[in-house]
Amino acid sequence: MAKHIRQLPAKHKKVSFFVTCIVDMIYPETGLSAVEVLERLGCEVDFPQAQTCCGQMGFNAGYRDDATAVAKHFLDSYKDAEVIVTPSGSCATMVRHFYTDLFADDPAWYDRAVYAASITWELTEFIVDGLGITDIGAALDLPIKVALHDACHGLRGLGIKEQPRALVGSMGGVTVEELKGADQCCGFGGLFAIKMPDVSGAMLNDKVQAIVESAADVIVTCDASCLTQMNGGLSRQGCPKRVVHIADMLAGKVGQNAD
Amino acid sequence: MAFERSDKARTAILKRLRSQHAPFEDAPPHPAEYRPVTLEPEGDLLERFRVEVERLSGKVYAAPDSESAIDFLLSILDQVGDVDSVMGWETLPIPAIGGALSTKGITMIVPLARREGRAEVLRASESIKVGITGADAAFATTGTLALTTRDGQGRLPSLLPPVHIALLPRGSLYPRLEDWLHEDGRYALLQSNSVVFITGPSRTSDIEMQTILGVHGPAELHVIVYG
Amino acid sequence: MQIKANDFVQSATIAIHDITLQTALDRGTGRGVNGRIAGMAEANHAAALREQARASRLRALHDMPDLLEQFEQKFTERGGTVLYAEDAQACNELVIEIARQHGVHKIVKGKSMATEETGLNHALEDAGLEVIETDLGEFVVQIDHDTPSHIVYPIIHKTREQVSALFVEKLGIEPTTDPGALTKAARAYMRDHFLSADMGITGGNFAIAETGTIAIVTNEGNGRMCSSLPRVHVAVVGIEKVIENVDDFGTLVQLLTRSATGQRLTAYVHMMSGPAHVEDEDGPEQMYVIFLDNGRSRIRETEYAEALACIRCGACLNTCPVYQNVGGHSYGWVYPGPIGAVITPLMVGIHNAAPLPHASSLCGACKTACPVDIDIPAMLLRLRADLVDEGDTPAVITGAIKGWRVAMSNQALYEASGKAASIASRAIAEDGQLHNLPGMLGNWTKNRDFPAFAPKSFHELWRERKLNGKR
Repeated sequence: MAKHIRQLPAKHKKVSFFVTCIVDMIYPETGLSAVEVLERLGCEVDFPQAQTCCGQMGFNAGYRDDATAVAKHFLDSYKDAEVIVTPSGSCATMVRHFYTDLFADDPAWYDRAVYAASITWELTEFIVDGLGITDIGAALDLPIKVALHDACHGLRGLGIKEQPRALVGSMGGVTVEELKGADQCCGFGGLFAIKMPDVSGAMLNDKVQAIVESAADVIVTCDASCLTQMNGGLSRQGCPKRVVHIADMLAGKVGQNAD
Repeated sequence: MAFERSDKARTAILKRLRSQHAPFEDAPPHPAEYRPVTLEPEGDLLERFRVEVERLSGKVYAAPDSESAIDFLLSILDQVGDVDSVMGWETLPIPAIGGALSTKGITMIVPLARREGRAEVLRASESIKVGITGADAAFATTGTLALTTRDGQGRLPSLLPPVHIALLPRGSLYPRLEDWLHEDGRYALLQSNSVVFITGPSRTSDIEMQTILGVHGPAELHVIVYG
Repeated sequence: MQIKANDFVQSATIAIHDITLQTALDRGTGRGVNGRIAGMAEANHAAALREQARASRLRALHDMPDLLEQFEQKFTERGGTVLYAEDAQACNELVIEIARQHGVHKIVKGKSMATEETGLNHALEDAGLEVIETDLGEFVVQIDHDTPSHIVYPIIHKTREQVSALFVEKLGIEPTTDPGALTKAARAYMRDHFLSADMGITGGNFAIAETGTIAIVTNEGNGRMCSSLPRVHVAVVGIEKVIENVDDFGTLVQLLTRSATGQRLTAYVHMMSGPAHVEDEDGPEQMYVIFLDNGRSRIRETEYAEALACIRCGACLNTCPVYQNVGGHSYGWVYPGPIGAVITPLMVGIHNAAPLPHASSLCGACKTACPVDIDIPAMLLRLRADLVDEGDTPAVITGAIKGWRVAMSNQALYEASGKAASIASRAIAEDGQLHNLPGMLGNWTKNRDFPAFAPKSFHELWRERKLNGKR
C-alpha cells in the first residue's frame, strides 16, 4: 500500500459519515448501527447525501480515469467535512492511500485529496484511536462466542487489528474465540471474485473451513465486502454460522433476532 | 566469436544503465554501524555455539588444549570405525595431528585435484570417509564455521567425505557473523578465492519438506574447539 | 521456458481440483510461512533489519553500472572472467562457447532461476552437451521433464510417491517412498557425475562488488561441488544481483535464509572471487561470471524498478493465498507467485501474461512477508492500469465500469440504479439470497450466494430518520 498519510487528531466529534455503496444498498441497517454507536459516544453525525462511492472498484481493476471521476465526486461530497468516518477499512484505505496517487499530477485536486486522506477514519480506529474509547458500554442479552476476521486492507493498509478486538472483547456477554487464519484473505478482492471465481472460491473454501472449525458461533469483521464473500460461501455450503459487521455487534443487534 | 558479443553487450548494457535516470536517488545511505541480524549472545559463547551446532545435528567437543583435541579426534575416528585413511588440510592448526595419525596407522591424504587427472584423483578419494580441517573463524549465534581456501587449506576435505571434523581454536570463535565479516571477513574475501560458511551437516527437504542429512556434502559434522 | 501465463485461469482451475497438489502445497507453504515467521521473530529487530536490507538493495540498484564495473575489476584481478549477455539466447551461446573452448562434454548444474529463464539446459543439450541438474528438486524436475513450481522448493508440488515412481523408472531403484532412501539414491546417481564433470554451472545469490565475490546459498552441498570439482565454473547472475559491500551481504544473506526456509543460515554459503590460485590443491582452473540482462535494465528505468530488489527468497509465494491454492505452474513461466505476477509481464510482455496482474486479491500479505519490503500490490495495481491503457481488458468489464462511473458520479443516478437493483434482486431472491445471476455475475453465484439488495437504501432510511425527528 502507498505511503500512509498522517492523521490529524480527532479534536471534534462532528462526524461526516461515509456509508459506502455496499452498506448503502445491501446492508443499510449496518449503516444505522454505525451511526447509532457514534451518536451514543457523543458524536454529532452528519450524512452528506451527495455521496456515492469511493471509487476503489474501478481503481483496483485498473480503470484509473474512471476511478478519478468517482473520487472527485467523493471529494466534492465531503468538501465541508471535518472528520470522515466509514465502516469499511478498504474504503478508508482507498481514500487514505490511493487518492493522492490518483491526483498526483493534478495540483488542485491533490491538495483536496491530501486533506480528505488526513481526516478519514475507519469506524473502529476512530472510536479507539480517535476518541480513545475501548469500552462503549455495550452488552448482548444472550451470551455469544465470536471470532474476528481481519479484513486485509484494514489490517495491512491501516494497521487495524487490536481496535476491533478491544471493542468486541469489552462487550458484556461476549467471549472472543480463535479463528484459524484470521488474517488470511477471504478471497473477495473486488472484481477478482468475478474474474477469477475458482481461485476466489478456493480461498473462500479455506475461510469457510476455518469458520466451521472455530469455536465461535459468529464471526465479526469490519468490512462488508469480506462479509458478503464469507456469508455467500457459508450460505451456499449450508453452514449455519454467519459473519456480522462490527457496527451491528456494537449496536447490540447480534444475538437477539440475529441471522 | 561469443566473447566479442560479450564485449558489445557489456558496452551496450553499461551505456543503457548510465543513460537512465538512476532510480532510488533517496535511498538511505550506509548506516554508520550495521545492525547485526542476530541478537547479541548472552552467556558463554562456546556454550551458545554448541547449542546452535547441536540443534542442527552437529557435534561440538570442548578440549582444554591441543592434546585433548587430538584425543577427541582419535575417538571420533574410532567411532566412525575402519578408518585407515583420512583427507585433510595440509596445514592443520594442530601440527601434532600428523604424528598422532601415523601412530595409529592412519594415512593423511591431501588430494591434489587440479588440471589433468582431476577426475581420477576425485574418484580415488571416494573411499575416504573422514575429512579433517581447521576453521578460520566460527560464529556462535548461528553455529557457523568459516573456512578459507589457500595453500595448505583445500576445499575437498570439508566437502567430499561423509564425515567432517573441524578443529577450531577457541580464540577464533566470534559472537556473530557480522563481528567477523566487517574486518577479518572482508580481508579474507579479498585474499581467498573460495570462502565457505558451514552451518551444520548437508541437508535437503525437497521431498515433502522432510529434512534428510548428508545429501552431497558431509552427513556428520564434528567441531573440536580447543584452547 | 514456454510461456503459458495467459492460461492462468484455466491452469488455476485444474490446480485447485488436484487434491494431491493441494495437500503438497498446504504442507510446503505452511512450513515456509512458519519458518519465516519464527526466523524473523527471533532476529535483532526484524523491522529495522528489513529497512537496512531494503536500503542496501535500493542503493545497489541506483549504483548498478558502477558496481558491475567494480565487481568486474576485482574479479578479473583474481583471475576470473566477466562476460555479459543481453538476452537469453546470448547467454546460452556464451555458455556453449565456453564449453567448446574448454573441451567440455559433461556439465553438472546447481539450481539457478536465471538459467531456467534462458532455457539453458535445452540449449546445452541441443548443442550435444550432457547436463545433470544436481539440486535434488531440480534433478527430479529434470528427469521428469517437468518444470520447477517454486523459487526455493522446486518440487513443492510433488509427493514422495511421485518421486519414488520416477526414481524406480529412471534410476532403476527398488521401490521405496522413504525420503531418506530416495535422497540416498539421488546422491549415489549424481556422485560420479560430480567427480567426472568438466564444467559446473551455478547461479549466484549475490555479487559483491567490493570484493568481486559471487555468493551461493545451498543446503545440499551441490553448489559447492559444482563450483569446486570441475575444471571450469560458470556462474550465471542477473545484473540486479550486484550489491555494494560485505556488510550489505551479511544482512541480506541472513534475511534471505530466514525468509526462504526459516534457517539462520543454510548449511553452505560459498563465496567465490575467482578460480583456484596457482598454489591451491583443488578448485576450478577457470571461473566465469555471466551477467545477464534479459530485460532487467529496461525495468530499472520504469516505475517497476523496485521489483529488481527481489532477493528470490520465495516468502511471498509461501504466504500468498492465491499461490497456496494454485501452485507455481499456474503462473505459466519461470517465476511464480506474487513476484512472478509482477516480473513475468515485465519480462515477457504484458500481453503474454495478461491474467497475472489480476491473479491477486491485493491482500498485501506478500509485501508484509518480503524481507526488502517490495510493494508488490502497488505494482500489480499499476500493471492493471497498464493493461487498461493498452486496451487489453474484456469489453464487458470496460462497459460495466463506464456504467459504474456514470452512476457513481451523480447522486440521483446512483440512487436510481440502486433502487432498480433492489427491485430486481428481491424479485428473484429466495430467502433473501440470490443463487443464480446472469452473465458475468454468474461467476459469483457459481460457488457463492449473493444477498438481495435491501428494500430501502441507507440514503432513504436516513431521510426517513430525519423526517421522524431524529438527527
